[in-house]
Amino acid sequence: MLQRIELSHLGRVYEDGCVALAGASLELRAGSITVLVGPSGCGKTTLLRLIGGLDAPTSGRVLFHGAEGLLVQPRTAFAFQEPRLLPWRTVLANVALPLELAGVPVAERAERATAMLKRVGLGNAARKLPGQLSGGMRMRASIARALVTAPQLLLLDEPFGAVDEIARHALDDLLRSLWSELGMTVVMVTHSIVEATYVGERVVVMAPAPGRIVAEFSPQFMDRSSALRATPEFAAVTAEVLRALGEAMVEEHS
Amino acid sequence: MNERSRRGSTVRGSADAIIPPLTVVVVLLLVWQGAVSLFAPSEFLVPAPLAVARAMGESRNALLAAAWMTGSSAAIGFLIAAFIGVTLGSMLAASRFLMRGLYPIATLLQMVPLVAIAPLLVVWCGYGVRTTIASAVIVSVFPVLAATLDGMRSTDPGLVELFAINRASRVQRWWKLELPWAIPSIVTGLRISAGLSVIGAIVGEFVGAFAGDQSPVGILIVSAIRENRTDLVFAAVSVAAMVGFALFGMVSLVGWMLLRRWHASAA
Ligand SMILES: Nc1ncnc2c1ncn2[C@@H]1O[C@H](COP(=O)(O)OP(=O)(O)OP(=O)(O)O)[C@@H](O)[C@H]1O
Ligand SMILES: [Mg+2]
Repeated sequence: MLQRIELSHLGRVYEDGCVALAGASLELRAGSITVLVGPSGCGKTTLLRLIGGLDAPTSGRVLFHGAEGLLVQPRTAFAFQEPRLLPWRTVLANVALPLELAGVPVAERAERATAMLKRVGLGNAARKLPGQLSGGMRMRASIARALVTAPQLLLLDEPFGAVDEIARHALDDLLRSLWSELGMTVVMVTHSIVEATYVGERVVVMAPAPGRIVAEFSPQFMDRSSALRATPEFAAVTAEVLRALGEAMVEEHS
Repeated sequence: MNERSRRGSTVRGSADAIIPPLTVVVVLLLVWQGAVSLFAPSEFLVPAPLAVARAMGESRNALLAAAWMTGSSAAIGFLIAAFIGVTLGSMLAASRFLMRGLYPIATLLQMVPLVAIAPLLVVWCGYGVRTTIASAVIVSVFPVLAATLDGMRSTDPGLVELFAINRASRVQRWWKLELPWAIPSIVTGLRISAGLSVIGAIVGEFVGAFAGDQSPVGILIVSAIRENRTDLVFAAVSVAAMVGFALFGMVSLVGWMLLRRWHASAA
């Protein structure tokens, strides 16, 4: 059982000499929801890929700690900025794909995929093709596909970057409720300070050149619902995040 | 929109597709017929369309049998070429080494003129339908191979990564991702090959078929030439074109059925 994720002085220098990430350290409690926010090119995607094992660090390491000092390998799922659905498969078959690739029997995977589709509000769209869905619905399908394997670690790279703001708010709410219901560890990357503040139990601010972590916030709100975004407490936190981002950028230019 | 007017617009749609080419064909035939009546060249040089039509009517049994023989050789050759093309194309797409090693050679082989090597096919396959089929395979395999290779290599890297994250096996990636991804491209290649396969079959018949009770199109053409029956040559050529068109049509239809729900090319 995963207890915490330790990122220890993680660095990634690309082959062309670009320092995408210079010694980022972070500790993530299992079951937490963390948001990485920062300007383009600050190494958010790089960091996420290192956590998920899609890429290897050039320095430092990622450790997944289990009980009694043991290291574990958590089941990990990704969702990307693009939904990455197969256009020839129905939504249901798309969501069932990870189970199909893992050799789960047909009946079981249909059942699990259907349940997950209902959970993300796509119960009626199961038989449709991705081409027949709106952008927000495609993103829901993509999230359902990521969650269908019941991952312990969910990594999201700007998952809602391509949908309009209103749909994005609904998707943020969905993500929060899936997280509190299923209890997986979530790390999400976003450009949006409002989204970061709303979704994150923890907001990690990054700055570019070289990519690094510059600040951290733990927004505490009594009640997270759509109305929260319009409250002064919320505005106060977003202002703080914004200030941290601004300071990081100024440092870079001086 | 109600049912009737929708059906009406479909009828108008297919009329729009058919009437212009039909008009062109009719006009060309009229001009041809008119020119032949006006200049009266010898029947042996250029027969009039009506003479060709007469030859078609008189020899319809022989022409039908020829169409069937040539058409079935071409279709068998086409299917074999489709299988070889997709298999080889998939293998080349899967292996950088094979691709670097084989693709240039395949491209070079493609340049070898079939007409020049057709007599060799007789040496290898003997007289008869095997030479015809082999010849059809040779001309129609390359477009399928190239289309398969191109289609698979253009697979969205994001989807390849998705499969990698889910630890898909190579076979799973091929069957569930690369092959379906390449289908629009493969269908395009197959449509080109369908027409080519008839040409290949006829070239094979020129060199390697023999006249029996029933002759294929290639033999019909050769013997009609010997008998100075140019009208029959034209009739046979028209029949060959129709066979090619029928194969092309069938492939297009299958492609459309495969792709209509998700691919823009079938819209
Ligand atoms: N494969 C690569 N090879 C070379 N450099 C790369 C590669 N991937 C990313 N980089 C560089 O590393 C830096 C960080 O990139 P990364 O994609 O992690 O940023 P990001 O914070 O996700 O940006 P964005 O918000 O635009 O997605 C950038 O300067 C980028 O140019
Ligand atoms: Mg990124």
